[in-house]
Amino acid sequence: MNITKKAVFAAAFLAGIVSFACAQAADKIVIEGSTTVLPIAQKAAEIFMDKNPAVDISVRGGGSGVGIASIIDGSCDIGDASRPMKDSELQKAADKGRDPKVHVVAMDGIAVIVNPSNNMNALTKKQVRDIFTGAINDWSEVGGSGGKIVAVSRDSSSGTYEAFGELALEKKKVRPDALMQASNQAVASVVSKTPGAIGYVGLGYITDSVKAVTIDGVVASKETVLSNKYPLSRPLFMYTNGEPKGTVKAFLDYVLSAEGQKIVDEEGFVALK
Amino acid sequence: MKKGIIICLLALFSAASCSYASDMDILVQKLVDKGVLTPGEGQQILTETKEEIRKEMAQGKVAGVPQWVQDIKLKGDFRLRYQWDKAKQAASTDSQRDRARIRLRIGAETRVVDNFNVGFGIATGTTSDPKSTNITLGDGFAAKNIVLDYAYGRYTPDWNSPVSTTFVGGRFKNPFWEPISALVDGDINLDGVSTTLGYKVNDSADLFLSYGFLTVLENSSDRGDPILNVIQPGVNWKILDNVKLKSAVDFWLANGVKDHTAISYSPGSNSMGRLSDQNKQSSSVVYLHDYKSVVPKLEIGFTEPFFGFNTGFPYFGVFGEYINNLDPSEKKTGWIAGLKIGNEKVSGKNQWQFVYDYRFIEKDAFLDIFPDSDFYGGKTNAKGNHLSFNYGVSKNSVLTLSYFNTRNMTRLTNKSDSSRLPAQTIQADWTVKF
Repeated sequence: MNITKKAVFAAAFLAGIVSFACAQAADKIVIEGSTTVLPIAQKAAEIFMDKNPAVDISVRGGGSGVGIASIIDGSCDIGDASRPMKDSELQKAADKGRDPKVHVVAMDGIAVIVNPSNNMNALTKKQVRDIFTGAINDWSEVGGSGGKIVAVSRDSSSGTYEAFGELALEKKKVRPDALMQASNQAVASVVSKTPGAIGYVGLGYITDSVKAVTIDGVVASKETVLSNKYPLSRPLFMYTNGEPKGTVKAFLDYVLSAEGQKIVDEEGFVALK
Repeated sequence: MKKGIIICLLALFSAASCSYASDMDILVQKLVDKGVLTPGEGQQILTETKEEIRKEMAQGKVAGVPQWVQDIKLKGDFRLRYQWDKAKQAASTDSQRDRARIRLRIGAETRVVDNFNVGFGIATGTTSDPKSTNITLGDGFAAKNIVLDYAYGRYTPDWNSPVSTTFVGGRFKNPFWEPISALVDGDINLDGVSTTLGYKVNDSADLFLSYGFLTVLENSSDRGDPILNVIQPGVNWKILDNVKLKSAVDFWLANGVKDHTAISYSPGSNSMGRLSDQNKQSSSVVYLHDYKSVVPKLEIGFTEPFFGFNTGFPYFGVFGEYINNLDPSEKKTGWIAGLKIGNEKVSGKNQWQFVYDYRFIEKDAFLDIFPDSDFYGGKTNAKGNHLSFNYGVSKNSVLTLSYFNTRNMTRLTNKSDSSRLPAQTIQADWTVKF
C-alpha cells in the first residue's frame, strides 16, 4: 500500500469513526428541568425508547431554572420549564449566541373541589389562598353555611402541590393542619367522604363524588384552561436550542402527537389535543 | 401546514409592533371559535408566538447597543435618619445630640466580556470615615460630598466544575457572612482581593469558602505594612423543610499590626502602648498585640409552622458569634447572641422584623477598625444591647427604629475619662432601595 493509499484509508477510517460517534451522540437526548414537567418527560421518554431502542434519553429534574440554565449553557438538549424564560435569561441566551426555541407541550390546570353536600359553588382566588394558608377556618367566613374547614392537600413532594403553591398560594405554605395525601385520587376520595373538606386536584380527577367550585367566576374545565381564562392554569414548556432536529425533533413530535398528549392527560395535565 | 402558515402570519403581524399582542389574542380566539384551530393549538400558537417575540426583542436589543451598555445594572438606596445620642460625660453630666442624616448610595455593574464584570459605587460621606456614608444635615445648607464607595473587577470562571468560583479585586463589599453586621460594620468595604468558592452538596446543603487578602495600610516608607488574611469556610444546610442552619468559622489573621502605630480612623480602643521591642528605641505609641481572631458563628432559622403551630411569625431565628484573638493572653474574647422574629428579610409591604442582640467584645478580641460604628462608636471593650424593628411600608421602602444601650466594660476608675461611661443611641430610619 503506497503512502497516498494509506492516507486515504486512514482518513476514511477516521471519518467512519467520527461519523459513527456523531451518529451515536445524536441518539442520546438529555432532558433536564421542571419537576412539574418531569412525569410527562419521563413517561414519554420511556415509551419513546421502547419504540426506538437505539435512542437513549436521560431525564432529570432540578427545576425550571435549572432546565433553562442548561439550555443556555448547552448542557442539555431539552430544557423543561413550568414558566416562560425571564427577560434576563433571554438576554443571557442572546449573549451566548443561543436561540432558545419554546414548545408548549401541555397545560396545567388545578381544580378546587369540595364535598357535594357543601353549598359553596364559587370562591375567589384570594379566598382559596386564605383557606389553604389558614387565615380562614370556617365556611361561614366565605359565605357558606358554617362548619370547620378541613383542608386536603397533596403532599409536599408532589408537582401538583408545587403548582398549587405557585398559582393559588403566592408561594405560601399550606396550613399545617391540612390532610396531606399521596395522590390526586386520595385527595378526591377524602373530600368526597368529609362534609367540610376542600381540596385540589388535576382536572382529570373531577368526578360526581366531588364538586369543583368556580374560581373568580370561572369553571375549571379543559376549555377554560386552554383559553387561559381559568386562574389556576399555566402552560408547560420544553425548550430546545434552535429548531429541534433529528432525534430531539422526533421526541418532541412524539410528545405533541395524539399518543404523547394521551400521556399528558394520564399524568393529570391538560392535553393540547 | 395550516398551523405553520398561521404561525408565519402571526409572526409577521406581531413583528410590526408589540402593541398588537392583544389583537393577536383576538385573532387566534376567532380562529379557535371558527374551528380552524383547536383550543390547544390556539394556546400553543399564542404562547409560542409571544415567547418568540420576547426572544427577538431581546436579540434585537443586543444587536443595537454595545453589549457592556446593555449589561449595566444600576442599584442604590437612600436613607433618611433621625439620630439621638446620649453619652454620660465626666462629673455626671450628660451630652446629648439630635441630628438628621442622609445616606445615598448608587452602584453600577456591567459585564465587560464573558465572565468578567466591573462594578463601582458612589456614596455620600467622607474619605475620613470608612464605617459610615452618612452625611449630617445642616452646615449652612452647604452641598455634601460624594465619594467612591467601591470599585472592583470580578471574574467568574466557567470551569464546568461542580465548584463555583468567584475572584474579586479592588475595593469591594465585604464577602464574609455574618448573621448581623455587628463585628464588621455593614458600611465597610474592603481593599484587596478575594475569592469565594461554592459547592452544592445536595438539594439541602451547600458549602462555601471565602478568602480575602486585604491591605489594611500602605505606607511607602514602611515595608511592614499591616495586612489581613481572612478565611471563612461555612455551610448552608436545610435541616428540615422549615429549619435551616448557616454556620461559618472566620479566621481574621492580621500581620504587621503589633508594634505598628494606630491604623487610620481607629477609634483607639485596642491596647496601645510604647513599643514592645525596646531595642527599637521609639517613642511611638503602638499596638501591643497582633490580631489573629477566630470567629465561629451560626444562625438557625425556623419558618412556619413551628413544630406544627402557626404563630403568625413567618420566621424565627437565633444567632451567635464567639470571638477569640489568639495573640494576647487577656481581654481577648467576645460574643454576640441574638434573635430575629418576623419576616426573614423585609423588602415588601407589611413585612416586619424584630432583632435583638447582646454584644460583649473585649478590648483586644478584634481589630477595632471593624465593629459596628453605631455600637459604642465602633469601639471594642464595649458591651450592651441592640434592638431594632423594621417595617416595610411598601415594596423596597422600609422604616427602622433602632436602640443601642451600651457601655464600656472596664470598671470606671477615672471619672474624667468619658469613654468609660454608658451611651445610648436611638435611630429612626426611612430607607428606600431602587
